[in-house]
Order: sequence, then C-alpha cells, then structure tokens
Amino acid sequence: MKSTLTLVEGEGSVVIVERDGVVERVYYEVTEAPRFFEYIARGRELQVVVDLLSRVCGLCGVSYALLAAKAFERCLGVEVDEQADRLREALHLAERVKSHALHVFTMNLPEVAGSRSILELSSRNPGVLAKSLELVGAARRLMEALGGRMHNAVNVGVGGVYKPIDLEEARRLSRVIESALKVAIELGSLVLSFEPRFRVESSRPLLSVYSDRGYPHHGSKLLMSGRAYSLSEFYGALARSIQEEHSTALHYRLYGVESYIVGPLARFNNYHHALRKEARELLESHGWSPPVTPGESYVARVAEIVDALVELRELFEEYRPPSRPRAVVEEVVKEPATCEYAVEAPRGVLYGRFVVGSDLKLLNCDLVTPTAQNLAAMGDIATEILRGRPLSEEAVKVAKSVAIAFDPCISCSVHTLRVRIVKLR
Amino acid sequence: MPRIALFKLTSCSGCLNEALLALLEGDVRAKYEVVYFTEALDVEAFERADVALVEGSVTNRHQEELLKTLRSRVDFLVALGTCAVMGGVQALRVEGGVEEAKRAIYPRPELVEAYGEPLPLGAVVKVDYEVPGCPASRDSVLELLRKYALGGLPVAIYESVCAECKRAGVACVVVTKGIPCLGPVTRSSCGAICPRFERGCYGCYGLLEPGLDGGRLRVLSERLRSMGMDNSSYTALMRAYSYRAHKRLAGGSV
Repeated sequence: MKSTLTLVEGEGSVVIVERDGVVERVYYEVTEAPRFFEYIARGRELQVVVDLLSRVCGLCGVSYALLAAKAFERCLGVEVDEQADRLREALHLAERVKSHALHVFTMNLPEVAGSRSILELSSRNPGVLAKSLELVGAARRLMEALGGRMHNAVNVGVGGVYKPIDLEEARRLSRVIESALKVAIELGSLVLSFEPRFRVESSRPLLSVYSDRGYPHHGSKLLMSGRAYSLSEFYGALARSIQEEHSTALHYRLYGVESYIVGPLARFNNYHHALRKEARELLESHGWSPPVTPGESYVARVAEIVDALVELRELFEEYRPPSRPRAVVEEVVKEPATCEYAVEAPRGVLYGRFVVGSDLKLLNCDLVTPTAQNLAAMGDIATEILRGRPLSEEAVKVAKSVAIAFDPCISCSVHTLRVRIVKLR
Repeated sequence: MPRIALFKLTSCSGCLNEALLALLEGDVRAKYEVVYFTEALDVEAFERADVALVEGSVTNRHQEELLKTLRSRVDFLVALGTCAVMGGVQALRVEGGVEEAKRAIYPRPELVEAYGEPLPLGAVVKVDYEVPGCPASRDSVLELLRKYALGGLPVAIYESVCAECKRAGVACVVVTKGIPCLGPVTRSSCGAICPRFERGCYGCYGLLEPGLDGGRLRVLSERLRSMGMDNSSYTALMRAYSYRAHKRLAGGSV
C-alpha cells in the first residue's frame, strides 16, 4: 500500500510491501519531477551557477551556493578575506537555525504532540506558535541582513560577499541573536520534554564532514565510524547509488549494500563533544545524553539550533568589516580544473564535484544530496521496526514518523545522477 | 472563512515556505482555514478550496492532469512564484533539449517522463492571480491573502526594479559602478535586493512585460554586453527566470 508523506518538504510517498496482511518491507518513494540541475548548470559562468544551484532547495539554498562558491575558490586558488568568509559562515548558520526551527516546530512538534499541524496545535497552545515564529523571525532577520533574503540569498559570491554588514548592524544582529537564544532554549526545553514517536537502536554508520576545529560545517574530508575519508575516496569507491525495483528514487549504500545516515543525528553523535556549553547543558538538564537514536533526531536539531546561535554570537563579537569583501577572480586555469567539496547542509552532507573550464565556465558537475543518502537508511529502519507486524493504521503512522524524523528534503533528492540499476528478482 | 490549499509542482518549496510564514501570521491565521498543504498539514486528501496557491511549473502529464482537476475544484487559483508564472530555472533544459538532459543524468533515460519545456500554469489553465518572484516573498503573499479576505485584491502596479531603487535611495549600480543590471526590465516587488547588495539585478522576478517589446529588450541586451556581461549569461538569465515572457517577446509562445 502507498500513503502520501505529509509534514515533510516535497512530494513523496511511503510504500509498504505486505504479504498476507503482514509487513515485509517499507521504502520511500520520491515522486518529484526532475529539474536536471547538473545538466542545466553546465556551460554557465561560475556566479550564475552559484545562484542557480541555490534553487535546488527552498530550505537549504545557502548550503548549495556555499558549496559551489567554496569549490570554485579551491579550483582557482582564490584567497577569501577572513571576515568576508565569516559572514558567509554566519549566513550558513542562520540557515541551519531557520531550517531546523521550521522542521522542529512546524513539522516535528505537531507530530510528536499528536496534532495534524502547527496551526491546529496553536489553537490549544498559542504561546508555542508565537515563540516558534519569534525564532524563525530572528533567522529571517539574520538571513536578510547577511544574504538579502530568506530564500535564494544574493550575497554569496565566488570569492566572498558582495556587500558586508557594518559594525553597527553587527551589533544590532548580536542583540537579535541574544534574544533568539533565550527563545530557542525555552522552546527547546518544551520539545526535549516529549517522548519520541518511535524508538529503534541503529548501528548504521554515521557520516559527517570531518572537522578538527569544532562542530562540522564544511570541508574536504569526511568522518564515518571513527575513520576519516577523502571525498573522492568516499564518493568514488564507498558510496554507490542504486535504483531499486519499485522506486524511481535513488538510494545510496556503502558498497551498494549497507545504508548509512547523514544529518543532525550523524553530526551530533560524531561531534557532540564539540558542542558549546549552552547546548550541552540544555540537553543534560532534560536528561538527554549522546548518542541519540533516529527517533530522537529532534534532540540533535535542538542542540544544533542552540549551538549555531552561540556560534553566531561569537562570530559577531569578533567581527570587523572586511577590507576586501570579494576577491576578483582573474586566475584563468590553463586546463580544466576539478574540485570537490562538502557542506553540512541542515539535512546532512552535501557533496559536489565540479569541473571548471579554462574560460571560467562550468564544464560539469555532480551533486550528492543529503536526502538521497538517507533514503536507504529510512527504508531500512522502517522495515526493521515494522517487518512481521500486521499492516495497520498504526504501522502506516510509524512509517510516516520515520520519514518525519529524518526531515527529508525531497526537492533536493530528486535530481539524481549516475544511477546503477540493480534488478532485484 | 475561505478555505485555502497549497500545492507543489516542479519546484523547490522556497515559495511555499514563504507562503507558510504568511499563513502563520496571526490575522491571516484567523481568516483562513488551511485544508491542504502536505508540508505543514497531515492531510492526504483534497476535496475543494476557495483559494489555491500553486508553486512550480508543469513538466509532466500527471501534473497537467492534477492542475486541471485542481482548477475545477477551486474558485481562485494563484500562480505562486517564478516557476508557476514563467516556467522557472528548469526551462534551461531547452538549450540542449530534454532528451540530452535525461541522457546526461540517467542511465535509463526512457524511464524518466519530463516535458521538453516546462509549462507555466497559465499555459494549462486559467490563472486568476500571479505572485512573481524566485521566491515569491512572504510579504507579497500576505498582501494578497489580507486583501482577498476583505473581498478585494492588491492593486496591480507595473513598474521595474529601477523604481524600487529610486524609492529606496539606492544609487544606480549601472550609472555609478558600471555593473550590468537587469533591473530596468525586471518586475518590481523584491525591494531591489541585489542593487542594495551592490550587485546587478539578475531578473529573478521575471520580465516586466507591459511596455516591453523585442526591440527594447535588444537595446538593453546590447548595452549590457557593452558593459561586459557575457552574452550566454544574459540569455541564460532570461530563460531561467523569464522563460515564458522572453519566448513571447522573441516571437514564440509556450
């Protein structure tokens, strides 16, 4: 049977395969129409690519823009002013707050509270909605100041930013962050007092960007099961994409077999020691300690919201307007240059491999999105919980809860690439 | 109380997120009943609504059928954002053709159904109102919903981004900095974001059609080229954010 996914971004379904009324397998299907981003970005000037890729995702456009800009800077050896880079970091963090706040409070919270929507929940508890909007509003204010707007920010340039904020604005934003932090802790406390909708232990490998300087945001190495991998090693040899029999959606598995997890759960479990004091103390005061299980992903999101806000506060404390906001890209590559990079988008590792031609236009690109990587784990986890259980309304609910816990971003996941078809018969 | 439904076709959900924020505003919340919106409401079935906000363009037969059904079940259908109004960035596929795009990405392209060019909603059904923008902004949606609830609609103002720069006191980036800018031909209501950030407008609200013809557009494109704008980038921006209008001005139609 098939049921439409709700309280997730994009168009998808959960498919439950049953035999004689007993659940055999669960998987998630992506029914979004493809937009061919890897193809339509080819041949474009690099800044056009940055702005174009932002459109892959309405929830995490900054992650895409930052991925492309950082990768191009590496390709071309562009040095970015430290303070200009700091502004892009801040924009990226503000997006993490926005995305998590929207998910936790408008999708996950109604669900764990047994409500059909935040609107319905707010009629019982108007304070929750008001506080949630205050937090989302703070993220909006930050994104508008740093990027121009909340979706499809215009201030991520190849080489830096178009326009930096001045010191006065930085001080105003610090006050916004300060009050957002209070609200985040208050709301976080509420969410942390809820019981997860499902409990399942998962020993699946957790993949995040590797970081030796605090909580991971972006980089050129990955961490999984305590081991560091280069991007080409991981995406060239380990992770393989497969298309399964019933689904047109692409799934990634290690060596084509084992599923793995990316996203807040993976970042949190790999790097909780790097979280700031405020985030750790909030969790401890509610009796949460790492590691968290997939059904408890909201705990990781709450921790990340608080951590991101504290990090934003630090970024603005030390901010000075950059002397050179945006480096002019003049270096002409003699032959096509290939560059890879990975960004921790709100939903997990976003990988990009780009080839820039000698005319400074994009020759080729490959993207691996967080949700495409999580689809296999989502299906496997739901199957583990439900296999052998009778097909019932409750089973469908659990299958939908698993999807909500992973916060899939279906618009992103759809533009698939390099599919290897495996016929299961 | 008007019932409102939100739908997504081929798109990124950015406009729907902005619409969500509009719907969560206190006064709008009190005036509308949201009956369908998979991203924020756990309801799978859609029956009828007074207003529908539709994000995205039509790129396959299923969506075309869905949109026609929708049209028959709502009174007031709104095209929300650049994809729904113009076609969206996915229109760039027309350059090499969708078959080439499929082959470039999928090993079994025959399994992928996708139209050669994305259809803006207006090419399939009658559209009652357009909210431009990539993304459509929360404030534009708010304005529409507030006025619709009162029995009216926002007054249609046809002006370019230049007017917004003037009102906001933003020095013209073309004149003062020599930066190529699509502002003179782009529909207003973004608040002149790009010029405020000292970069040229790249046209994401779509071409301002009234008063614009192919000749005028050519004058602008020549001027932009003389300022150093790459010709292929100019065409790409036109296709990406103004597909329907650009094609019409060039003598074709979607």
